[in-house]
Amino acid sequence: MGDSPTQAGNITEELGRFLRRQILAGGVSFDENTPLRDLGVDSFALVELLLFIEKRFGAAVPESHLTRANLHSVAALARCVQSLTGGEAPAATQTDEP
Amino acid sequence: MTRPTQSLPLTGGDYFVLALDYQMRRADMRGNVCRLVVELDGTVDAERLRAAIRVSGTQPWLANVRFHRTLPFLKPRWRWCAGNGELPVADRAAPGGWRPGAPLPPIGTKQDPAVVGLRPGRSPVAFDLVNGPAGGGTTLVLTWHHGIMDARGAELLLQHINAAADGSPPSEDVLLGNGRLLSGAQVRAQSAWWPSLRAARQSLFLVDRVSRAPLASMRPEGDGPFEPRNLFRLVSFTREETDLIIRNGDRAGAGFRRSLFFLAASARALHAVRTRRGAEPAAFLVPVPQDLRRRGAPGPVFFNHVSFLFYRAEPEHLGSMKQLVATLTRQMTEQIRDRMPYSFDTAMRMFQRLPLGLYARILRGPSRGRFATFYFSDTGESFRDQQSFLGARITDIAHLAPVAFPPGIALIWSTFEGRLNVVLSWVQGCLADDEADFLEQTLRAELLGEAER
Repeated sequence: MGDSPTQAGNITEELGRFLRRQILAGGVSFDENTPLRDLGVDSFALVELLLFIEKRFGAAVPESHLTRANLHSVAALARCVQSLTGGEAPAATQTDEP
Repeated sequence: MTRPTQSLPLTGGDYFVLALDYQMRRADMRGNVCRLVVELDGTVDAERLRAAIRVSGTQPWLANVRFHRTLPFLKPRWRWCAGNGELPVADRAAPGGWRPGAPLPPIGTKQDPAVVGLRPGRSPVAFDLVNGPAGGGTTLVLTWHHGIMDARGAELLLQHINAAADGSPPSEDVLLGNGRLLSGAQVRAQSAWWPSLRAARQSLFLVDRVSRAPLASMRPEGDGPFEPRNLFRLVSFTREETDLIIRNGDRAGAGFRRSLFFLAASARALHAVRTRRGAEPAAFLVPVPQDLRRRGAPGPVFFNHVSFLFYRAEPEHLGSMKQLVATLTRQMTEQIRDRMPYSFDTAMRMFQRLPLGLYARILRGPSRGRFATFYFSDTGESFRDQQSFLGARITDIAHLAPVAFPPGIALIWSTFEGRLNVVLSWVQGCLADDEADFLEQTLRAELLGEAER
């Protein structure tokens, strides 16, 4: 991947890939704006997603950012992560494993 | 669908709930038999339900399943016997003065007549249609032995029966799973011997650490009297009350981890009961089941696909809702970071080689069952994508789960159409009548914001 992983599009892609591989059942279709709640993503799955973000992008999402709006969809969460990382390349070493 | 003839291994969760079943039956209770109560705004005909069950393809699997172990210390299996058994569907008239919801019927002793069980001559699943007075709707009661299905599976079963009536029966994979619908991490955790052993050991260290004495027990002073029956009370909240509860959870710092606010409110309400009794302050230990299915999956329907997170609350944390939510949040994150639910699932699989009696003894522990101060479960949003059952609109649901003694008390939370329900379940004698009233009042106050934050 040539682009920085912290560009919004790439973050969205990676979060989507993580959801598909680790959280959601095969055959569940969604896009970046689908509400996570409609996908059955519960608090347990959200914590897994936040821990993935911490490992992959080196950004722990602070409690103050865990608002309903930021956790609404993959796109909203990606924007939040981008704002935290400032669009700079992170010291990420993991792939899409939690 | 052809009649099943094969056998399948138990999940770790299956054997865990069978150990609790053993513990209940030893105490002269009926066993780990659960009920899902679905209130319907309309009438469902028993024959129509029987026909839907038949076309769903679930009947051969459920009517003929048996627990089987070839030799001691070999892993047990579910085995399907030859047979054309039918699942019992009973049409009943509601008794006089009866109204849906409350009071909830007790689950009686093992001497009481029962059709549900895993022993020959019993069915692991039964359906009762309780018809109210003319125009009063029907209450569907699904009764099942927890050994073959968890609460989520029970909801999925009803969804698939409903879909089958509309011409979309579930596939065998959806019913059984065969491991394909579980998460990749879980499948990997089960596949290698040494990592499995290491993971199991790690989870047992955690259980050992969180269960150090002194732990609070809800057992009243003295030795009883304890009756071998479960009592239930339904605590319902309106949509407006539920919205207020969610806002209060936000204020307490729970945010999207709504379940932790429910858990904290449960612990604080039970702590108040102990304080009222004059009991010494002690830490609370609560194992909380977690669904291991992939999110959005239509299955597996059968078997128990759960593991646990273990929460410990020290007496000083129980005094403040905010502090309690903060410590529970920290524990949740740490355990998920350490992959603890998957590790404990591996440990539960390893325990399958033990005879049930020995396993139940381990769960009771050396300190008279201090495996848990109480049981807590949040089944989340029920029937989110299904508004009706066989043409009748679903108006409410409640999960009734029995509890063993110890711990003797369970709180089961569920949400339907934005309304919160809590079922208090306890072994008769564990809570006096006035204590049950006090528990309900305190719980309401904790949730609705009348208590100190």
